[in-house]
Amino acid sequence: MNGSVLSVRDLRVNFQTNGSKVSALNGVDLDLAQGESLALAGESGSGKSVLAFAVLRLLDDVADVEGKILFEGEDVYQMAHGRLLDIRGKGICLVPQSPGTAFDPLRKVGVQISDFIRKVEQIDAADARSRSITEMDRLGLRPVKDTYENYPHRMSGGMLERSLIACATATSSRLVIADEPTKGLDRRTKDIALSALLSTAENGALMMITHDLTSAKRCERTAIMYCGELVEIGPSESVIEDSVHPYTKGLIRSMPERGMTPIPRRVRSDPGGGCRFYSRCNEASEKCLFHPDLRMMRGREVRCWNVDA
Amino acid sequence: MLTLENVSKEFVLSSGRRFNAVKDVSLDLNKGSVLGMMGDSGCGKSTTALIACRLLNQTSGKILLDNMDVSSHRRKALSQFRRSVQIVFQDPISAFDPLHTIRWSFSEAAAASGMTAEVQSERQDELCQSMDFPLCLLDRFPSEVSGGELQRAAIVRSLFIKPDYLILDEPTSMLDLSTQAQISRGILSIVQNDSIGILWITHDEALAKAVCDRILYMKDGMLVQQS
Repeated sequence: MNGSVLSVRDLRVNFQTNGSKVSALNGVDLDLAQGESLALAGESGSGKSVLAFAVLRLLDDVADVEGKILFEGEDVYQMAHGRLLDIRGKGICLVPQSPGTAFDPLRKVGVQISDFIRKVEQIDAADARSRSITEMDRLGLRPVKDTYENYPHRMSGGMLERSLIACATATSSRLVIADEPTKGLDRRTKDIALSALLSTAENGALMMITHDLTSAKRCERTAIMYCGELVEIGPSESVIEDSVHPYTKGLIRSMPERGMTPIPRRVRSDPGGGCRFYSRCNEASEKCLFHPDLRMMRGREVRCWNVDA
Repeated sequence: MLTLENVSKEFVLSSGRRFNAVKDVSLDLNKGSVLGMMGDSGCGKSTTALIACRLLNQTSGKILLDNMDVSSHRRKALSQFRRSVQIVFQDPISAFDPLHTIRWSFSEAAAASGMTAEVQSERQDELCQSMDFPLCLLDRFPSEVSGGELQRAAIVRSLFIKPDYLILDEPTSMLDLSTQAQISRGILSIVQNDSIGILWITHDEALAKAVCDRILYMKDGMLVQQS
């Protein structure tokens, strides 16, 4: 039995805006075991990034977070501040979404990667430098001699994205959370970046947020999120190639190679008490006025009344 | 027809080294058709796009609009040219003034073309409908709408003055699948209605195959293949 790296229990996140409450996550349960890779997909605004931030306890000042998050058995929301800072980076490494703002514009990219490695791994500067050079080379940032000395503004979005990934893959973080790491990359560099990220799952676990279902397929499991709830989660092959939830099927039909048909209507700001996908679903029935729970069906968990075993 | 004739672009790097970003590229963009452009990052796609709408001067070669050489147009003549060739970038936030509402940005574009208020509101309704941009968002600021909504607004704005050609530099790479499908379909319907010529840069081969009539592949600054 593999040890648990991350365990999320009934996670609820609410933001207070102008007097009204916006619920971003609505009871998320998720487990990541040692050696596992999970892709998290869903439309913009479904709560994927909020989940990533909540795991690192980055929402303390801006949102109400309820529920439990265990990292290797330790409750992230109960630990002392010092321990939390220790876990960020060393235990859980976040690859944020906008690489343009993640780097200090006034310092060389290579030096920033080295600094990160040095701090996390507690090794000396020369070792950190050689490790970052190896990693930048592996991610195709060639010629490394030049890219190491580059300032962020001299790099393209794709190069910065890979530089960020290098921070995560050069260190031995137990959990890597990557927020849309392949956005804007071309086919060749996307493949390099994905392979590097997946290799981090060998000594820990990987959670990859993505819009790209083709990349998601390379992770062992895929979770589909809608309006702050997981609606379908299971082996990537079944979830993507043989989807059963109407929302997942809608996402698949949106792919250019599968008809490019968008999901009708917009996400409702107030989804009501029933199934949150009800107003956009083409398979909805009377039962859907009640809120469905996740049930194990056809080899994956699904939140839908109309799926039969 | 918008034509690039043997266009090359050379940059001088800070080290003094010369770098040829675009080498001898020739292409024709016809009205009412979608021309795709693919290739790895750094192969010169965006540079070619910037040259095609004259935001960047080429080192050699010509740009022709309906067989008229516009390569050396300046000031008035250049702004006349820009009226027929518009560009939309990957990140829509840079296309909007953060201090003004989206409606204001639209009317600025309309004013530039001397539209009457009546024509403007008609055009606005028509475009917002084909791009599925909700009219209730018009009075919001760019920071108050989502990336997908703002990208739709950016495309609406670029089409406001009825350009003949539109260059799209990875317009959907930041968006989720459903939004990408919606925007792509909106663009295709406008191509048909207004008979606009589109140059569509993308990394997504499946998307290129779904939307383009013809696809050009670039490598190391050169056009290498066509399909």
